[in-house]
Amino acid sequence: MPDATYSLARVRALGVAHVPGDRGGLESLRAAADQAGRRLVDVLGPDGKPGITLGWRIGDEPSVLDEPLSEICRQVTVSVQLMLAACLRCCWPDPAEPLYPGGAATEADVFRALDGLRSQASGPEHSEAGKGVHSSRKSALRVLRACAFLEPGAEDGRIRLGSAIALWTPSEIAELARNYDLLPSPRGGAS
Amino acid sequence: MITVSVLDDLTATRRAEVMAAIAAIETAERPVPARSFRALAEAPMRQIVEQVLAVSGRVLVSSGSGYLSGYDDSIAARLADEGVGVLKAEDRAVLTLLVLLSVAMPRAERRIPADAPWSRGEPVLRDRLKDSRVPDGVIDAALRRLRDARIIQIGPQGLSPGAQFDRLTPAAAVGIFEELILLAEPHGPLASQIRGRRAARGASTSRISA
Repeated sequence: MPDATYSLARVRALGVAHVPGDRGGLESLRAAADQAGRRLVDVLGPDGKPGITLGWRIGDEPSVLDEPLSEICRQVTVSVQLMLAACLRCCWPDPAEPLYPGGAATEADVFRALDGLRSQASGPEHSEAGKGVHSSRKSALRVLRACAFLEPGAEDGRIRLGSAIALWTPSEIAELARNYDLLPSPRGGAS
Repeated sequence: MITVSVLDDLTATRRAEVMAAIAAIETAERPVPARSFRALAEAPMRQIVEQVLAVSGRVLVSSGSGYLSGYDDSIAARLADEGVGVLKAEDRAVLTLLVLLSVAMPRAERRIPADAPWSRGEPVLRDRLKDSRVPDGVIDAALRRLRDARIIQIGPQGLSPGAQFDRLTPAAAVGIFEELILLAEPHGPLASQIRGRRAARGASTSRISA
């Protein structure tokens, strides 16, 4: 079993791996990824140091599957989708700048962005309902971290975009930038 | 550095078909129906899919009438030896309890077929796990992590193994089941057979490597 094969599997298992110290090691890993129809993407590790993750060659990215095949994909709840939208807005304050790695946001910022949506749609909430909302938001953050859309929980408790965002294509990011104002903002829902 | 990939020998159309199938089986949560992708439906193209997967230490896993991908057994063993992708001890304990109650015992009592997918276990109530010596708080935290990673699923009837179990290779699935037998009935006849088989395998491996 070639060592590059194991190294590629290791990158996949880790999600984000450190960049090999020697140039030859990195080149052979990139070549192996290319043979597998994949590519190495530069990202930031949870420690803030440069890392690599396994992406897809341009044009080979997984496509969104239509019905009935969409049933085989992980289904994401509306609360998780909204949480991702709020995190994107809070961690990407200027859509003219690159989306990834973006900046760090506080949980309070992200929750305030979502509060804006709630007050527009449903008015003030009661304390029991509020507890349920808080728990659902925490759960959504955990799911996004588990899927690498957000970095795993950092000790400072701040929210940062994860390596899965680094795999988004330029056209996907351009589409997001065009609709930036629809993302929930901490300054009062979608602006 | 010049490298040649099996992908380079394919026409653009064939290459796109192979990569579409690979992207689907690498990212889907449930088995991808073979009929949905030509590269999975046709045996010669499926072989190419296997060759491309092998470059990154992955294998094609057949599950029902569909396919997913998983780690090659030797790669998975090496990753585990290095501690990569290994669950926390408390998560392993809770998962073991769940798999025992949801799959191993129902199989032993023939309530579910021996060849049923692991992700089709009998649902188990959360309180049943709490009959164990593992503290309740530890169980709740472990269940959250296991659910977020899709290693378990929580349905209206209770908890059962999740979609990640569909990615087990046949050898990995047998290995887990054997470990459960060794745990549940360490002095039973099945456990003796398992230990005997493993000892014989170990002896033959050392003869080969000598």
